[in-house]
Amino acid sequence: MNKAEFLNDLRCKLNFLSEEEREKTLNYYSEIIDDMVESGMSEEEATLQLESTKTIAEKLMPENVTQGTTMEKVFDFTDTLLIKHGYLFVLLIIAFSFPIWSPIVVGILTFVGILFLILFALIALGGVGSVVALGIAASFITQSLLSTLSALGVSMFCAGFTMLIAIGTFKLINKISSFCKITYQNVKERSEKRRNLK
Amino acid sequence: MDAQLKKGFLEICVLASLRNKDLYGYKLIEDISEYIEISESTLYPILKRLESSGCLTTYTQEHNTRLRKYYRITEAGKKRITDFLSSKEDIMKIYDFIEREDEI
Repeated sequence: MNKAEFLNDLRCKLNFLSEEEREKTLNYYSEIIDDMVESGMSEEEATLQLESTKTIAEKLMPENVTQGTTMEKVFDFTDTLLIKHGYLFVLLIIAFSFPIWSPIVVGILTFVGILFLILFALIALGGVGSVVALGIAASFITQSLLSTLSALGVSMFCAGFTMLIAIGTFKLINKISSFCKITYQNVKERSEKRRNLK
Repeated sequence: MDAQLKKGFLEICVLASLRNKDLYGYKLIEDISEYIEISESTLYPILKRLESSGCLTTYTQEHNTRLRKYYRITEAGKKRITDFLSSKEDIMKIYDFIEREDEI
């Protein structure tokens, strides 16, 4: 990456900052790269020596902005309800609003279920496709070099595609599980706090 | 080194580097790196914090047809160095205490 590419990349990743803060940060890194170049490095070497734009952006990010605020709001709301009106009231609300939230919950669960079904089907399909194409390549090997190579190419494409989807799925599962863990932790902490208040 | 401890040390190191001369970002990193590990992304928030707390001021100067931002220490910044140095005895006492408790 040269200097311009690095700064462009960083600009995109800093979109959560205000215009002014973003420009200040970019100026800071631009100056540092210039100084590194002046001390004898090439632009590529300089950007390589710096931390990745991703790390830089992460360090400037206010911690867990979205997760913190939305979750906190929901928890605060339930907290006030529980403290003001007691558990029975909240249970009644949950029971009576059943027709409203149940389709939403079912909808989300179905969506997630179908999504994973599709992802696993794609992984299976890609895996099978890769093996089958490899078989076809093997069967052509004595007859035509061109056919063998194209079948081999298809097989590699399938394998790459499968890996890509598998990695994506794995990351998604990780995200979901960490979200569940954080939610569980929050609920636990909140209920302990409420118990201590009493 | 412990991250919290390092953060505190780095702030004073930046001020100490600026004690006798104004410096620009890259030079600060070069100077401090000799004693304690510091990266560009670590220095940036430290400079911002020191500036907003009035320990340093900045100005830009032309250098080789481009602009360079220089950092200059203020009186408040100098006072922070003296305060830090005068707490050396207290810090040493804490070290002694931790070492003693560790031996038993």
